[in-house]
Amino acid sequence: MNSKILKELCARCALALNDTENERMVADLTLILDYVDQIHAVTTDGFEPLIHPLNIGNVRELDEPETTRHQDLIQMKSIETVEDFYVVPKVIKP
Amino acid sequence: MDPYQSLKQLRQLLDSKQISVTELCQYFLDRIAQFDQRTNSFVSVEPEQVLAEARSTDKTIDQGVNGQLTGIPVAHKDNFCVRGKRTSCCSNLLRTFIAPYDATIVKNIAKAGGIYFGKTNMDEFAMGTSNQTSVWGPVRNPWDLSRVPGGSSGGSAAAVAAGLVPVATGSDTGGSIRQPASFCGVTGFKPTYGRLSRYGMIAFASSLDQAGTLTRTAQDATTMFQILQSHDSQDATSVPSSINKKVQIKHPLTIGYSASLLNGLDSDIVARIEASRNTLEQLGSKFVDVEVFDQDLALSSYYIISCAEASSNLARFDGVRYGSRAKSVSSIQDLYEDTRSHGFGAEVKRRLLAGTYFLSNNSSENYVQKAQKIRRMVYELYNELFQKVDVVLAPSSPSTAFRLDEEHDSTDMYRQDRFTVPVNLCGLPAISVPCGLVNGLPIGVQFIGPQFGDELILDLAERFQKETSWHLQRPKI
Repeated sequence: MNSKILKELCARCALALNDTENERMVADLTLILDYVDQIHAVTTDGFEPLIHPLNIGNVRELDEPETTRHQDLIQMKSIETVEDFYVVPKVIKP
Repeated sequence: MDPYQSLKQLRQLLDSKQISVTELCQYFLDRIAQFDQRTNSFVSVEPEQVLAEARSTDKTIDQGVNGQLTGIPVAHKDNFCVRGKRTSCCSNLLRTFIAPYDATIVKNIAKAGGIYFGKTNMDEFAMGTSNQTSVWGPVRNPWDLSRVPGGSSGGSAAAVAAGLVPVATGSDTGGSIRQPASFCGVTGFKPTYGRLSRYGMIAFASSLDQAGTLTRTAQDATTMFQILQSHDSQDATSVPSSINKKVQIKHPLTIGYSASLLNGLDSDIVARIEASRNTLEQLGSKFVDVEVFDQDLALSSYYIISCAEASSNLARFDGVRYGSRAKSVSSIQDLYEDTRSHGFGAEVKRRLLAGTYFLSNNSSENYVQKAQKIRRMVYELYNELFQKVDVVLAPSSPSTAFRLDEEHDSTDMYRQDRFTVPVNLCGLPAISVPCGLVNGLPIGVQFIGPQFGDELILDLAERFQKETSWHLQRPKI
């Protein structure tokens, strides 16, 4: 871990850290990586990745149309809306 | 009035009209007003609304309507959505978020007549083992106010331990119910993954998260489990009854035990775990030595998977649709960055960045897939184990509650979970019950069952508590 990698991670995470946070975060992440790196010493050949603890399939439901728009409920405490839309800064620059 | 009565005792008081729901609620509200400034276990309580609901419930009782929880105060961890109530996950990012719907757990409790008593403090987004990362300030352990209550369900554990509420909900991703239960001397139950709905419980790591309860007794945990379990079509991981193969309760039990788990623990804690084993032997259980998975490896696998899942789950908090939003930003990218940078605390950022690293192109195979393969190894080991034994006995936490001002680095804190995370990796049920006091502080022991062995370990915990009185100990708050 170093400040260059951390900068890339911050960009992917949509996070901005100040200099003090950067320094501390590099140290913390280094510690975490040093700890979890012990997994590389284990032979896992023959084991399939386990992504879920229950051996169940996806829930499938009948494909029946229903009204699921609950505009008022969902936007009840929205930060800023106009009609059905959320308001955000301009995405396309003029 | 004794604030430490069980649900059964409170039910009897209400049913025999020795006390009204309004009087009961007023009593617990008074205790919160008197003691919660010390523990900071609640982040929101609305006395007027509680009393209005209590008065209305008294009327329904007069009309003969009575559910299992009718009139009983129940608090919810702040990651359960309660319609119309602030649900902040104790994060600055959601400090103004009002939930538009009820979590299924919340609905089930309301359906059984429980009185919504407010939200309990927690580690931000359930990431922590000490309840020090909450935006609303740390929770203090009622047994010693200079110490932590454990986490992340620290507010729920402290509230039950302090006699501020008879029961509270919690969530357990890597031990977040069982470790605070151990620190606070209460009973903490994490059911089999999928037996309680996660709908409306704000996600941390979806393949590990499980709702559960913090109660005074195992009998109360059983009552709550009966009320809360239901198949929920709104949660794709909720287990349908067709595959919900409950494990038969039987006696005597064969219990697996690994003395190697106790290596390095304080001798007084070891003595309490050994004494628990003796109690279970006196109850007729037969103990066999078993081999358990390397704790540090399981823990590493857990942290890789949980951080990776968290970095994906928490991507939704972008300041557009809900929560707080950065002001005076000129671009959408600035909006995301400023919102998240000011919204998330240090521990959440640390885990999101670690998770993003594990998931990145160059690392995913090395870290996430490798961790998932180790998860498979742990899973298969437990599967084999449960061919030979009915239950596994393990400590709930490696220490009693530590001091708030103690310095711990991240991995020190993470190692607090080493006895609890294998349970989450495998989706097993486990319960932590108080098994003693060490230097005046509670410590718990864990009974771990096979998948769908919830009733089996609840029954064992109830029988254990009939032979011991540690769950009846109270802090002098």
